[in-house]
Amino acid sequence: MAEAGKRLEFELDDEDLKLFSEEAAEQIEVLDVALVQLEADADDELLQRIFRAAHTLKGSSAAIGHKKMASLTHAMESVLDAMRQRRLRPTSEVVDALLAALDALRVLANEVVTRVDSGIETQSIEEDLLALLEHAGENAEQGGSGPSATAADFSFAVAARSEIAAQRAAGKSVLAVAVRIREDSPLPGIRCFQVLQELDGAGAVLATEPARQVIESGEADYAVRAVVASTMPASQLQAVLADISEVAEVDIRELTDDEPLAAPVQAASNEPRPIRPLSAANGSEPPQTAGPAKRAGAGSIRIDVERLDGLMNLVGELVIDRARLLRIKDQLAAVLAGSELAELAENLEETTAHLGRITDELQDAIMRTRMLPIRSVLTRLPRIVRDVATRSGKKVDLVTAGEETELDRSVIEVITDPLVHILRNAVDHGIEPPEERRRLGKPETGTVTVTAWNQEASIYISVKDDGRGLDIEAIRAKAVERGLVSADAAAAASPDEVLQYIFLPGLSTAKQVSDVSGRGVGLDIVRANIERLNGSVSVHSERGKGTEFVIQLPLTLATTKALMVMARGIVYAIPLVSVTETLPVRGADIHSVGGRRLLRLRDALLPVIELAAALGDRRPAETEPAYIVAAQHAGRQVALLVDHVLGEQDVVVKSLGELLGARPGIGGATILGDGTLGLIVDTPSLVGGAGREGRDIPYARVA
Amino acid sequence: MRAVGSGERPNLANWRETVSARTTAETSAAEEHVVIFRLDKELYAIDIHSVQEIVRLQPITAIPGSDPWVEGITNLRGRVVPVVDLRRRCGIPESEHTPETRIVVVHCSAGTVGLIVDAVSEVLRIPASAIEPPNALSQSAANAYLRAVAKLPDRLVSLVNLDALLGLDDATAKAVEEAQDALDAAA
Repeated sequence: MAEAGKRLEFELDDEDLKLFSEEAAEQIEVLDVALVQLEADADDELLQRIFRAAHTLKGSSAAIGHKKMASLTHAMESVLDAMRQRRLRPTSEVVDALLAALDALRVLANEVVTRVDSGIETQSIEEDLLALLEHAGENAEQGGSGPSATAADFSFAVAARSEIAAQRAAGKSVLAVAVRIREDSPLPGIRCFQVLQELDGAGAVLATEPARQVIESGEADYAVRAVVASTMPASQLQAVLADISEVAEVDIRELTDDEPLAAPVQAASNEPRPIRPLSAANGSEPPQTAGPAKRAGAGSIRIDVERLDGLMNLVGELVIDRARLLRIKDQLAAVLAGSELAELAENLEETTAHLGRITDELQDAIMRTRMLPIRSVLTRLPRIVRDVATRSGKKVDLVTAGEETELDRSVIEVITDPLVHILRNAVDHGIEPPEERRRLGKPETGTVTVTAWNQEASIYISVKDDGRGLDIEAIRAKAVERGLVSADAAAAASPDEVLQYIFLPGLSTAKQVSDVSGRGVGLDIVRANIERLNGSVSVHSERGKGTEFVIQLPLTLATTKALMVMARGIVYAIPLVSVTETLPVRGADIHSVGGRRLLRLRDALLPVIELAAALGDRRPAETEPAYIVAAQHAGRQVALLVDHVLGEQDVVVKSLGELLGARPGIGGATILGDGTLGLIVDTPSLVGGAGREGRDIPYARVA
Repeated sequence: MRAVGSGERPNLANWRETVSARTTAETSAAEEHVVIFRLDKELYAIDIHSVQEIVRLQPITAIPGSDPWVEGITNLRGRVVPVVDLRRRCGIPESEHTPETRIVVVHCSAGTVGLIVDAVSEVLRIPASAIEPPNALSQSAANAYLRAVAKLPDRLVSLVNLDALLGLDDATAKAVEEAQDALDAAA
């Protein structure tokens, strides 16, 4: 359209803009996820959800005077309405048209932020949508599908509403569980009782149908439904329940906020402020009460992320004050030792210890409120897989598991890009075309499984495909051909070692360069970015069977364990993940080779780097460095010379601020026990190799 | 909060004297409400709404490899704030810090930044009639961050454009850089 670049005016102020953007993003995401599901399983509940999302978008865009967006959502609504009335079936043609409209909606919603006309053409999209309606009715469904297993009625849990909200607020996920016992079971009542026992073991059972007493007396029949608050992942609970004898079917899902049981009217007084008045919607649908998709139920509220970050900062200060208090206590104890006032120091010690415990708990609690289930990342994946599969002519099923796995939002922000990259690769390069799979005796449709789980203080995400696997010999040859590895080294490398070559810059084994995954610029950046966050990525592959990538990341980027050192009067924190050992300079086996100093450490030769000088400290050194810190990144090891080693510490990572921006070698700052600042060493860029080209230092997003 | 007006000269040397930014309503279009500080022998003014607070010199951690005019970073109640040495930034020879030395904490397009100045003297309302547009100055590239000059009865005060001063617009950054190089070469 000729108006591209033109300035647009909307009827909203900055506060409204924020609300509008948040809500639009939310509803667009609902559509993104739900539209893809539509093809597979168009149940009423899903259609209703999609319709509501489109309707909400129509209402809010009309309210701010975004005519183009309102008109497009209106067209979508018409199509969706036809589907609700079963006049139109969700064929891939219909879903394609809706997805095209959705992509346009994203652009239109962004216009509100930029206030610049993107010039996007929506006329033809609307026409495509309306054209679908002309054929509506011809292929109307006969009878309509009954409610699917997933749409079971959990209204019996109404009485437990406040309990559900409380458990959610405490960080538990609330699961709706439906178990069916095989019809030929001679003892269904006992099986139901077993189910209840397992549920009790998994967490707090908030409601059951039939009632608990009925189940406990063994009088339940062939089905149990329950609402359970648990920290156990749904997949695990699923496995536990499926293990019970004579269980025919287990269905578990997270209970959503707009479940019928969240409906009672008295909740209105507790309702947080509605996102946008929807009464401005000019459609035929009666106005609804509030942003329905993710409405905060009674007992939960929306919190601005900035406020949480602010709280996090305050607790960070509390942690520092506690450290100071400990220091004062020690001094006081030294001064008062033996005197009558020694008891005072003891009292202070007790109080400080108590304050310490509370601070820890507070820090932990705030950290948890920042945690989000990884679902928001995983739900975006089906669309990506569908797009890539369509474009590359593959048939691919995506299976996701571990949606409830929680991680800090700082990690959520950075995990998406690498994950999507690996997923695209899996579909584009991993999975074979259908005809090839058929020839190999594999099912035509390939499967890509994305699984997330927590282990200790890390989150793991695995992307596994059942495709052709990586060709070790091709990688070996290519690495030599590109001059990335010497022929001798490549020949001597084990298959596992050769696999790691795929992370080298400039290596691509795809026979054709596709527009989807691009050239070999990718996995090296993926690895560099992940390692920059103190994470790792590994690959396993079996020829003909498939490939699995596992990404590991710390649960939060807000704090990190570090070795504190001093160099030329500045305190540096070196992330512990990269530190292999420390040793005194005296007695170390340092040699000068061709003007470069090398440390011989057992079998390895490490280049010796003076930390302060390497970071650009041009002030003259006052003392000779006395310690060596051996640090590694991506298999490269260096010996860092420092003046002193101060010890290990948990550090809260803070950004250096926009004015200073990202500096090579420095990843941020941290507040020390005495209130002054130390600098956090960015080991990857210091050690060199991959990582220097990484766009920004991700710590900057945290504090 | 002490009332501030053109007749009064509140003592801003107090520890963490916070300058309230909530004076917008009192400021009419016909005047500028500014914080005045001294650098060597000259007086400069910053719009009071950009000033978050004024603190005494406190420990600053140097950032190796940063621009020479960046003094380092400091801990401002749990926030990491970059600190700029304004003398170095403006090409004025360095001098010892004195008990008068202050860090003026300002908001600009790069977030919160601390400016080391020789002294903060007062908060003033300057009538628009006393402000000369920049073309009245002998404007050179190196002082492009001066947006106007205020002629007060007993002295001249340079009004500073913060973003330009901190090199946040490219043209100024380049010009200041060149001037700096010339100064370095001379030193």
